[in-house]
Amino acid sequence: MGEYVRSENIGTAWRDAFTRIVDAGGDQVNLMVDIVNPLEEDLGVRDALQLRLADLKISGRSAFAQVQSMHTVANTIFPVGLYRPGAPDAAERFIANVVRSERLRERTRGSRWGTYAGRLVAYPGRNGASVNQLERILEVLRKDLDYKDRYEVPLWEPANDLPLAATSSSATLHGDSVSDNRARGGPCLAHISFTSFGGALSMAAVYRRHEYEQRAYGNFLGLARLLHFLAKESGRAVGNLLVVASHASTESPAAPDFAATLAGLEPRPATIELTARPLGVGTSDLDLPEPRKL
Amino acid sequence: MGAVDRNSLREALLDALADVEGVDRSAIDDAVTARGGDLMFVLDSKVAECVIAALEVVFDAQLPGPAELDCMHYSTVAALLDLLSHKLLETES
Repeated sequence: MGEYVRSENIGTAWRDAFTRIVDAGGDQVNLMVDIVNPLEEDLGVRDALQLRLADLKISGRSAFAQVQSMHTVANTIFPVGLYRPGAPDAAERFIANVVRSERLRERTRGSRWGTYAGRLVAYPGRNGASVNQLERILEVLRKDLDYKDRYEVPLWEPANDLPLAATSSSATLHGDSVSDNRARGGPCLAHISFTSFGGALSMAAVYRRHEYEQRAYGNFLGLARLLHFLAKESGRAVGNLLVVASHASTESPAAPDFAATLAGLEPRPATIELTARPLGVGTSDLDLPEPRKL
Repeated sequence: MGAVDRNSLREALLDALADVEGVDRSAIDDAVTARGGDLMFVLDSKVAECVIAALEVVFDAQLPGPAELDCMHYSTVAALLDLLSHKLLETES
């Protein structure tokens, strides 16, 4: 049976969804998480999760050997350090920079599939061609201010060179038959759909598999930043964020204990970072903390 | 491209940084001074990747990508300049 979780911000939504998965025994099929205000998070939840991941990283469990900070995970969808809205042509510059960094990565990534940001700006198409989905979505959103829900075209293929008026504001991130034909590992985010309604832009994202301890919080952050980028650059407000996982799971045996810890935390709501920091200021404060124990 | 020395490499790096950030070069110089110099000016890892990619074009050379580097190699302007100096000046000599 599927489950539906509705919560105010990224932090509480993650906590409530995580608890729901724990209650289901560690695996949940068709989990829908509806985040009312995706531009807010809960720093208490985030800090507790990052500390737990730091502990798990040194625990010797192979599943957690490559664990990353929420900031790093979020960057795979939306590299926030490249978005500086005060600069001229900020959206175009952001997209061009993502293309530039992905080209550098492409040379050394071997058989690995890449990043979601890379798929957004260069989805593999027919005969070696690629499609810049982010550029096209933004173009559609900027043109069609009066339309609400014309943004879905079933079975739309990014590689199709359709006229702009017939394109959708969906983004395909999974489906390259060459590199995505694996039982495990990325890409797990399969599809993103945007809806413009009442002056706000909302997002629905679909994951084939969502690892809640290692990836989900960071993915929520990255998706929220992507949503904010498109909303701001097309003159809209930010709507809600729906994240659907066909299969959501916890990865550690002690997840129930951690769910109990989360339930006792005081709320610490905060606005998420949406743009690059001032020139020369780093992000080391967002790294995983020092672990508590071996 | 003429002969490359460390100073001209630094100029090219900061020009590329200004282009990636979408700001005037003077804003970069001011920020480097305000942060306390090249050692203290921290680079976002994605920004550093873009700068490296831009310098590959400027110098018509293949430079190391993120998979070949530890993040400490490009965490500051000074670190990235050391990396590029090692790669480009060594190639020239």
